[in-house]
Amino acid sequence: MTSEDNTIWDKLQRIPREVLYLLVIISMIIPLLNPLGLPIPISPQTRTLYDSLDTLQEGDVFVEFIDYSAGSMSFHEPGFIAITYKAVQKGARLVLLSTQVEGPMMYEIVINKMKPFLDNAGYVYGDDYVYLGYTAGAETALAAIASNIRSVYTTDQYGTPLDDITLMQSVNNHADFTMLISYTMGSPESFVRQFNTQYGVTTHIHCGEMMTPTILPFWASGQITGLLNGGVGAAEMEVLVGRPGDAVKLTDVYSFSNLIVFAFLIIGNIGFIMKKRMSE
Amino acid sequence: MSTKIVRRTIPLIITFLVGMLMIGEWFLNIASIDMIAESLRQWGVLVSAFAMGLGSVNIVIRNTRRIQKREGTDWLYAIWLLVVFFVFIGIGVGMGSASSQYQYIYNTILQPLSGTMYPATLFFLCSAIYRTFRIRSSQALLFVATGAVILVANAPVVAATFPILQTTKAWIMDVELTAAYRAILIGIGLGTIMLGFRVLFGLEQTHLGREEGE
Amino acid sequence: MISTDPSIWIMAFFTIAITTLAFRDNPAAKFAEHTFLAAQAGNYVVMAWRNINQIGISGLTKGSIIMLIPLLFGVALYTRYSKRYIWVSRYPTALMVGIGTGVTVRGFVEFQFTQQIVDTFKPMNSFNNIFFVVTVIVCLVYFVYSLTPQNPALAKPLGYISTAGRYLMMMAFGASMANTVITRVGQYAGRIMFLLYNWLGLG
Repeated sequence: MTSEDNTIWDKLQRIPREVLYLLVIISMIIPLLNPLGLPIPISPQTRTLYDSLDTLQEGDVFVEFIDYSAGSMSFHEPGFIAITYKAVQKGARLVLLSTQVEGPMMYEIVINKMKPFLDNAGYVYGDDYVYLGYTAGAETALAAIASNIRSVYTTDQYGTPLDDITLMQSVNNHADFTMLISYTMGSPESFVRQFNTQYGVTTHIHCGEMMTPTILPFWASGQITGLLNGGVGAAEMEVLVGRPGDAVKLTDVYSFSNLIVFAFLIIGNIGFIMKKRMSE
Repeated sequence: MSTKIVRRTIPLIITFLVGMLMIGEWFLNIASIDMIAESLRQWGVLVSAFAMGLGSVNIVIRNTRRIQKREGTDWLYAIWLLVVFFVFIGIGVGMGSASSQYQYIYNTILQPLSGTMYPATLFFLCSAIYRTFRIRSSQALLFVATGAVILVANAPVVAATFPILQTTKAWIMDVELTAAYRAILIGIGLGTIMLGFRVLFGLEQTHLGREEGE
Repeated sequence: MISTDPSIWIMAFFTIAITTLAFRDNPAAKFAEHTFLAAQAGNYVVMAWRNINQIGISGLTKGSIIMLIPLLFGVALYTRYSKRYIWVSRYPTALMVGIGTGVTVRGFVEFQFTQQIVDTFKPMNSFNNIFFVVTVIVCLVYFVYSLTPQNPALAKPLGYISTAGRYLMMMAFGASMANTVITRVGQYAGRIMFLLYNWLGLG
């Protein structure tokens, strides 16, 4: 490295990555220990989901695909809790299932957190909600579930035959689903293709923010009714249902971490542009 | 029967018949086709479940070889890997995936690992943004500028102070990005349908692997 | 107050070990990586077994002999590890590919074309709507790069439109990049929350 490569502009482009990483970590720790409590504006995508949940009647079947893994638990779990809380308030019956391999474990973790309000609402497993477990097959499984749920599920997660479960005695296929939602970091389009496009089932999606760009056109066209945009969307839903929780805490983290990344993006480019001008 | 017919042609015919049956079910309302299609989907789910074990066989084979080679400390990690692998299977299959024991080992071992492995790519992403996203052209300028606006607008503390950022972000996401991605999706859709029919008609045979003798 | 639960300490160890991978390779990170691979693969086998048992084996034991076919097909997948019989695995692969392709392609035209194109035709009564429609068309022109007009006079304008499409897509990708950052931030913040609240007992 020559002295020509050692100007302040070169140094701005060569800040050690460890410094960047530590700053990102610190930017997360500070707001989690000292929450800011800023207002959270509600996006139209979350609003349509909430309004759709508001149309649920007592006894309606609300199908929820727990298709997230531990990697996205930080925002999918709060979103699931908030949406399920709303559905329970409306008296809907819940059919929970997974097409993601970590889904059953995510269910066991989240159901313990939901037990208090499920018990409060008088919800009984088997009568008002049921978890069918994991099925392999991705989109093939979704197509099978849509046409006949018993072709892929003969028992629930705990081995009870479906015909012995009160709730499942009246649930056979898409015609019995009032609406469904998928909490996924995988392929939300497959849910829309198999349920909404083919059978017109009202379909909602809760996906990570990085998948939102590819999903927004389907929300704009009405193929997806409600769209929860990652952690931001989960926070909005928590605010709407009146139960601020972990997702709302996350929004404070975004404030700091995003600014750190923005700062480094700008610093790197300032160094690049000034260096280029100097050499010209 | 000719080797090529048994080893390549018949599988291609299976792909064609099964695929066309699935498509036919969508457009025709014939009870017998619906029934066959439902059975085939069930079979597809079952075979997919078997496919999930393929990676595991690979892992066992490769790590057994590492143990046999005994290079450096590599083989010790391989032993640990196989121990954990068989413990998970033993408890999961023996006691059931719904058992409290399986839940315990999942929560203690797999959940923190899975929960950190993918999110930790945040650091590599930040490093990439810092080192490679340089404004070398007008297109790069648009890329960086839009990214910067969305990054800042996604910070509630800034968005609350400058409401214009919220409006700008909403416009970029709901109008510009939706329109651009719609065009991309239509383009991808064309490609996907073409590829799908090429696979069904046997013009695309990569899923069957190489020809013998290649 | 810092946790005294050994499982919380194990979880904290794995979280920190994987994080250190971003800084540099080290024995703890390697240990955690191998543990993850093993546990993930084991989990896959456990979940697969449950499906095979539920659909295949219990179907067979209840008298549905036809379930033998997909069970045999499933076992046949593993012949890919034999150099001599690898061709047998083409049968179940062909079945899966046929079903998957058929199921995906059949709704595609309506899902990704018809409804998307119909929604693109918005009333041209506002700047946003006009901008929207123009953006979709301009970006689509970018993809039609195989179109070479017979009339050279059309080539130049098409070139400009295609370039405009590229610029508009760059804006979209920039926004996409920012969204990726926020996703990863949200995901990793969950681990920080665990370390602070569950392990160290702060907050």
